[in-house]
Amino acid sequence: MNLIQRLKIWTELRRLETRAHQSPSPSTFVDLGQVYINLGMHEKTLVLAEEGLALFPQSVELRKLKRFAQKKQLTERIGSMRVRLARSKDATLYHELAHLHLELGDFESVQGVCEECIRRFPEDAESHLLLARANLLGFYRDLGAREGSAAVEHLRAVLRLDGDVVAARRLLAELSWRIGAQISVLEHVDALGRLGVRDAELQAMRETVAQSSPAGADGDYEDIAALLHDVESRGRLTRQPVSRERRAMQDATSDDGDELHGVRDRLARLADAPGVRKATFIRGAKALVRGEIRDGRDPFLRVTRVVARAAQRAAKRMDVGNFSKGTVDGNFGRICVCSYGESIAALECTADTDVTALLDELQELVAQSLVSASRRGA
Amino acid sequence: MSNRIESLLAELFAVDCVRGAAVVTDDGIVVRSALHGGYREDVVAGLASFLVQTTRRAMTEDGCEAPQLDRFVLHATHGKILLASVGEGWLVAITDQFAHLAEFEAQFDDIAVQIRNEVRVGA
Repeated sequence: MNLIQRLKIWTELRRLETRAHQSPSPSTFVDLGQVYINLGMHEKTLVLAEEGLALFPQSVELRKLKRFAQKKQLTERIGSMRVRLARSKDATLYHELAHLHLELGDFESVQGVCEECIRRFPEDAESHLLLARANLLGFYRDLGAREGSAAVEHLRAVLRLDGDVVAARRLLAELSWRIGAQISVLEHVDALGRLGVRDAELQAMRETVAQSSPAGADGDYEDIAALLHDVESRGRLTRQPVSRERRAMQDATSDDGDELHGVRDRLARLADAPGVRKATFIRGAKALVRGEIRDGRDPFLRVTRVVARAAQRAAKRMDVGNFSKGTVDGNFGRICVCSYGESIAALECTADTDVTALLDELQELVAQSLVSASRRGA
Repeated sequence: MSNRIESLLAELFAVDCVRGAAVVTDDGIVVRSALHGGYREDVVAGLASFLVQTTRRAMTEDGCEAPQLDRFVLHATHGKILLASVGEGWLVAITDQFAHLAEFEAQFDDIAVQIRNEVRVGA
């Protein structure tokens, strides 16, 4: 590329950067990303795509741009990793390389790299674990018994080499749970318990399995291969992931049944406060509305989302950290917004409303929703 | 006019908690600024414009006829950002997290009014 061509590209780049800056839209971000890609600036492309997605999270083009940038970045890293590996055959380098291929979704390469590593380092458990992960991804996607069996074989190989590898035990426990291998679930959950690993999911698995086979299973035989073939022929797994089953059970037994329990009352109180016209609480795709709001499609919800996102971006770039709360005043009255992560609470009030106390209440509301969400997640 | 705006910005910048102040146009062009070393005036102007334009566009698209935005106050973990409309543009102030808004807002609003008057006289 000669100097004039370079200059032309840089001028175009400057123009697109200004455009994306002044009138942000998915297309201005994508146009700029395209130039970054052409110049090989993949890291910048990724940052740009993430910035764009913060403003336009539903944009398919921006998601594609992000995926493409990630892929390019991974491919570059793979290239440099292979050069390092050609210089020194080190098991850690093989693992890193296999991880990168796994991230890229290139399972054949994962297999090739791990098999080569196992040939050179027969006692290497990590390569078996990586192969198991790759096979499990394939199994959960296609429900093919062959991949399931291969995953089980590799996980067992890991445990033969080192019986204390928690990740392998956990993957086996989860796989056994999903295909309905009750004895195997008990075996691995108990082994994890002996290793000091206890959490709510493992506990739930154990309790459910113990309830369904109360007599215990000592000495019983369980044909994992047959269970995997059953899954393949039925075209569906026997059980959902344990976390989802627990949530379904909690929903069925809770009075309210949704994670916004408790936030409703507070929001209703806020909507009744003097001067407040509209009140909303948004988390992801869910929204609660109170006051003069027609429904979930009320424009106020979109304005709230846009203001929260724009404020977050401005605060970050102006180096004052994360946006937490704020007000917008105008001929429409006053809008108060409080945001943390993907939870946003907002009010629309009359112009003469004192919003200091209301903003604190909004912050309390968002905090309460986060606490209840984390309790449900625990 | 510009000397007067400069002196008003300097007055605002002299407040302890203020890290920077600027007058910017609606479309993100800097009129005058007084910013600490870490800030770039084009970035501050661009972001202020982005915030205002994005909010205005969202309101217009959602059926609010001719929304007139007067003021923004944003609280963040390490500081606060205040924007006040001064007619054709915006007065922007960035403060640290210790700013007492109850006290500072009055001063900020007063300076915004004076700048608005200056802009009118200038026009």
